[in-house]
Amino acid sequence: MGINKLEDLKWHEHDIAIPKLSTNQAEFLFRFYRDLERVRIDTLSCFGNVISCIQRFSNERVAVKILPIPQDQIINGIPSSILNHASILKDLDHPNIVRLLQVVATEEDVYLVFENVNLNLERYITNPMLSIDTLERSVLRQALSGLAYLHSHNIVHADIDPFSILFKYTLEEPPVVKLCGIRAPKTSTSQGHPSYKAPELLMGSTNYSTAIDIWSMGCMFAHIIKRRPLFNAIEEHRVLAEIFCLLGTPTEETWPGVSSICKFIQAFNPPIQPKDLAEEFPTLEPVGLDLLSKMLCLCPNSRISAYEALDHPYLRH
Amino acid sequence: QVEYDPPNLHETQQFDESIGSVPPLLSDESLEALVEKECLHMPASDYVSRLKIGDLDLEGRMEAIEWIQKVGMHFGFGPLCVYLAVNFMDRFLAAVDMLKDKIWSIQLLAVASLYLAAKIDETVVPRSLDMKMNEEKYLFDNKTILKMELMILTTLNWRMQSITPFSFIDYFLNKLSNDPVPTEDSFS
Repeated sequence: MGINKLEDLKWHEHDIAIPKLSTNQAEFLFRFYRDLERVRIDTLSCFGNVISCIQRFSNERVAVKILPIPQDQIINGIPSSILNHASILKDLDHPNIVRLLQVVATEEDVYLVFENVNLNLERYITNPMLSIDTLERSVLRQALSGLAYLHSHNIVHADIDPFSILFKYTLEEPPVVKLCGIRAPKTSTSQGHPSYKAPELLMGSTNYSTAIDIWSMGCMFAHIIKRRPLFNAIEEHRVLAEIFCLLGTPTEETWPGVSSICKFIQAFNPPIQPKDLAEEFPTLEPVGLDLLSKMLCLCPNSRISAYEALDHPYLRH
Repeated sequence: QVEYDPPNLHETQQFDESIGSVPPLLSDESLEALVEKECLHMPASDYVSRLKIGDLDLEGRMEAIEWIQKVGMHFGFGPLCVYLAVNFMDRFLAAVDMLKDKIWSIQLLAVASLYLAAKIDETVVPRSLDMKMNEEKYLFDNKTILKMELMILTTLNWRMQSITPFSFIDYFLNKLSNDPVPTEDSFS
């Protein structure tokens, strides 16, 4: 449930679903919006800093993200990080990217008003009422097409995980995939779920190339097929171990330059052999396996690009 | 159906490039996207004629541009930053009817536009107060400049990542010269 009036806020001090707002934020939001509610980002009661609410003048549900201006920077107006972030998002216009509808700034905060979306991937897959069987290809194609659009704008997402892939659905039409959580380039340090992180990042590389997004998309693809995450660990080194167990360890032949990123890789002698993906994914047809293996290619330079993946036989028709 | 040209796209995938090196070469898709976006970052189409017939303050605009160039040079701002500032100013003038009798308004607009452009393009941004450069005309207090800043952002709908000729230079130089590796020197 959401709350409608500023005065009601005090009754919900301990309710984690009710957003914590400063006085100015509350005054601003309740003037223009009603039914405020924090957006749940996963199946447990974990909440993000996004507020779902209804715009009073249009009766349309939107998602508002508050970016507070740091106290010591208020004297300089809008900080350049927020300015760049908001203006880059404002220029993105693609059906598979969450649309930034409006930016409103006060002296203390910047409010990003996004179109509302219904569910994230995690909740979508685990909901027995929503059959994803016939939609596997469609979901992957839409997500990749949003990603290809980002990459053509030289933007690396860097945080693709089950919570940044959202669904907008209506009763009559198939669900539309929407990528969210896009940040400004240059400021990227990946904060996404470790089990979706590319091996080069787990090994300590700080190079945020477009290839890291393809890896995460490959993990999402596997997640949809398996109905559970491909890798389960939470600590980064354990995820890396899981990756090596499934796909083998890279060598200088399969990944030129790998030993300069990761010193201990030569300790795997002889290298671990990759498992047969067909056994891991018995329900996936060979052409799908081919695409999956190209997305989960250890060497970032040899990994398929978003445009190439869209043209892969598995997704083409 | 998405058309693509793999050899070009690999340029954006170079893993070995260190951060802060030469930006990747534009692919043909990126170019298409840029050309489409460019139209969103231009003043209204009747802007030039309105300047010419005196509907807008042509002289004030020229003077403001001169000031922007001078201050830009003083702080060592790049050519893109100066270009952006003029672009913001033009788009604002085209969208809003500034009161002609308030001469200070275009000067305030110039200060705030340059301040915004520096925030977008420069790594070191001077304080808004330091931008007046000892010129009485361009002397405004911080609060006023920040108010103008918000007004520009709202008027331009926060579309501040303008596509400029600088966005295309590398691509076309590369096409012309068949030089496989464009360098940042091609800007200067």
